[in-house]
Amino acid sequence: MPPDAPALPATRALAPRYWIIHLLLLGAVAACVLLGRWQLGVWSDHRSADAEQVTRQQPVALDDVLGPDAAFPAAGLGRPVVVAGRWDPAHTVFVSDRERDGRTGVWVVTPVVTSSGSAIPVVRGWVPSPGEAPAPPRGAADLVGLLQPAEGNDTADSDPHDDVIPELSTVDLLPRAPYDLYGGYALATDRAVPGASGQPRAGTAGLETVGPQHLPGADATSGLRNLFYAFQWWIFGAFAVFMWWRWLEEDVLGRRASPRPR
Amino acid sequence: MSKLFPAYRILALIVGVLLAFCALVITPARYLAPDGSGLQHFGETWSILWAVHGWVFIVYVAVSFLLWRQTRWTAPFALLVLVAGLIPLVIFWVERAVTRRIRAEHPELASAG
Repeated sequence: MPPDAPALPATRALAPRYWIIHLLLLGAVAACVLLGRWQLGVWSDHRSADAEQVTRQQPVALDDVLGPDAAFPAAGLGRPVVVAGRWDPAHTVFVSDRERDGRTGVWVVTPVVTSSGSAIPVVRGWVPSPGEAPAPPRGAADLVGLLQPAEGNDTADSDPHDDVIPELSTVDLLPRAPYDLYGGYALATDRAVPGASGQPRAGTAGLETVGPQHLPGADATSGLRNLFYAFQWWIFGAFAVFMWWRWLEEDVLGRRASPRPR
Repeated sequence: MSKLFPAYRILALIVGVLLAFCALVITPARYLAPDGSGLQHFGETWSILWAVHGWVFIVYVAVSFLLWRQTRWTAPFALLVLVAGLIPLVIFWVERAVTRRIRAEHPELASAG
């Protein structure tokens, strides 16, 4: 059955006349892997775009989503809300260990006391260290913020008397605040406040914007088609390898009998 | 005797029609028609057929491969048969070439079809 050629299998398989086939296989496999990864990327972009959809909704008044005494509603996650009231610059705090573009810094948080008498912490932005933060705003506050639930209480505050806290949690904030607190915080944006003339008073000058930390999960079906495409490409790649191997064994190395010899 | 050859012909027809429709009608409608027009919406909706083409093409490739193993075509001709499912309209011509070759060289495969 094996041909009379005495050459080693590897020598026969690597004969120059087969190079083009081997190269085509490598090209096809590389193309399938890359195209699959590209579709996988499209799939995950779809999902994050889907999750961020909530942040592009029309802003509504804070108390319409989260009342001062209410539990945090699921619909409030990442929702743009209008925060109006008075800045309380004396109670500005810094939340430590916050990463941005690979650098560790702090969030600058100043509470806004609303007409309800309660205060909502507003994350005005990020700076590398507390000393670099600009002076906190005073007077009226009027801004669009993305609503986020208060953080958990897993980290103990090493010094409850300074203005640096480990987490933006109600427990860490309450000893420092002479008022009740909302059950969440707002991430300040520079978006225009609907119905208001002039610039928003968001206190973001000199600070880098902090993006949403928690968003509702994307729909299970969003971008599903691209996930299927990704698998399709990888199956193609695997099948190309299988075909190449069978061809090599049967036609080049003569190891297996043809299923139907001529 | 073998169902491979008729299966190949049917798959080639399906792949050919799907590919021509996707590449020459749906995708141009999706990307060339004005935004928001009915034609563009039609292209968006039916672009799922690309996925159908993809899966049918996988089956086409598998069947073509089995046919190749039985006919022992040279690798270049076999590659042409496989790749034909990716270039619009070429597959109709390739299917005729395959039919001619099978009838001439492997009448035992063609007898069932």
